[in-house]
Order: sequence, then structure tokens, then C-alpha cells
Amino acid sequence: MRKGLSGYATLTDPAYSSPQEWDTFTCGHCWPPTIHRVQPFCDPADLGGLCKVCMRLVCPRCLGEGCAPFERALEREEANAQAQRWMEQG
Amino acid sequence: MALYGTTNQSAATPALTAVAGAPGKTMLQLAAQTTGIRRAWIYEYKVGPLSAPNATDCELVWTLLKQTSAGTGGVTLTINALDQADSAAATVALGNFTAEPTGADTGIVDQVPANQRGTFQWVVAPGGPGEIVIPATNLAGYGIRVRSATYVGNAGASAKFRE
Repeated sequence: MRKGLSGYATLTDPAYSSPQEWDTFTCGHCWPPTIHRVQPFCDPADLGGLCKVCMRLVCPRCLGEGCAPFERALEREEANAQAQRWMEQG
Repeated sequence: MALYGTTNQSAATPALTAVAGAPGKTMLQLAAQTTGIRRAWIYEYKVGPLSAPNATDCELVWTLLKQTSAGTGGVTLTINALDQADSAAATVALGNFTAEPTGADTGIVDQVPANQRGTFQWVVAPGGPGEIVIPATNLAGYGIRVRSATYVGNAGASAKFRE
């Protein structure tokens, strides 16, 4: 699970004596991808889950929806835009 | 792998952009463009206020969201390669819009409610997992937007990405 926490976020706030820091992960299924902050020592079940097909962390919203890596939606969006451009150019 | 960086102040004559109420004001937009169109991957962004704090303590709500058009009246910002030997970026950076780019709340990637004196940074290793992909679609990309009901000063945003 720890290997999936690929990002790091830092918030400075005058209400705290030191910066607030979190590990983050980017959902492997959401399109557009969503960034999720992880509380220290949180229950891994609260994060969402690990997709055993693409081996990426997924957010609670995508959990149990099957493996649909965001690259598929990305490719669909690019193909749609390309088709539209061709049609507009005649 | 070429790395690039830009801010909403990266211009020959930097224009300060004031924070607005809902839905907010896009400080920095990174988007693909027709010329040399290609994907790009955002691996870092930083945000914070650029003006003195409001007398009444208040919030700044920062949002990274997907946008599908350029805003009206935006200025093109300079993108610098972190390694000066790299070629110029194909991605375009825009800011200081008079009318907001198209982007619904359903496209929110990240949101940070912060104090008006707060700053926020998010980073992943460039080339590693977790980067935010800009599709190779003309003027599709991501904007860093900020809103506040009270704060009317200026704000700054910077981002780093790779192509």
C-alpha cells in the first residue's frame, strides 16, 4: 500500500506551529484523476483500495467498479476531439 | 523527459490577478495546443496569496480542475525549461483572464480550503506514478482556480510539468 502513495502535500497555516504534511495518492481509475491526501496511520480501508488488475490505488468512489484505468478515458477523449477536428476541417 | 515550469507571474510585464468570489478566478491554466500537440504531465503545483491579508480573517479555496477551453482575454505566460538545453514546451500557459475558462466542478482534481495566509504545495516524482495528465486535445488542460468570499487581494500559482 505504501508504494502507491506517490505524492506529497504541504500546507502552511498560521494556526499551526509547523507545516501540515501528508502523503497523497492519485486515483488510478478516476478521469480526470483525483488527488487524495492520506492521514497518518489511517486505516488502509478508508483510502479506497488497491486494484489487483492494474495494481494502482483507487479512491472510494471507484472501488468495486471494475478495472478501468484512466488512460482509457483519456484515449477516448483525445479520439473524440480528433474526430471533431476532422469533421470541422471537412 | 523535458521538465518545465511556469507561474502566473511569468511574463515580461507580470499582471497581478485578484481573487474573486464563487466560482472563483483561474490564476494559471496549463493546456495542450494545436501546434505540436502532445500530452503533458503535471507533477507539482504551488499556490499562495500575493497580497497583504484581509483585515477580517478569511479563507482561500484553491482548486485544481480540468478545463476544456481557454478563458477570454488571457495572457500567454512564459514557460521555462528547467534544463535550458531542452526545446520549448508545446504546452501553453495562460492566465489573467477576463472571463473564466470552461470547467465544471465535476472536473475537480484537488481542492484545498486554506487560510488567507496559507500556502499549499503538491508534488510527485516527475515521470513516476501520480502525475496529472493533460490530454493531447486542443486547449484542454487544467486550471488552478481560487475563490474567496472576503479576500480581494492577488494570488499566485506555479506549476511544473513534463512532456
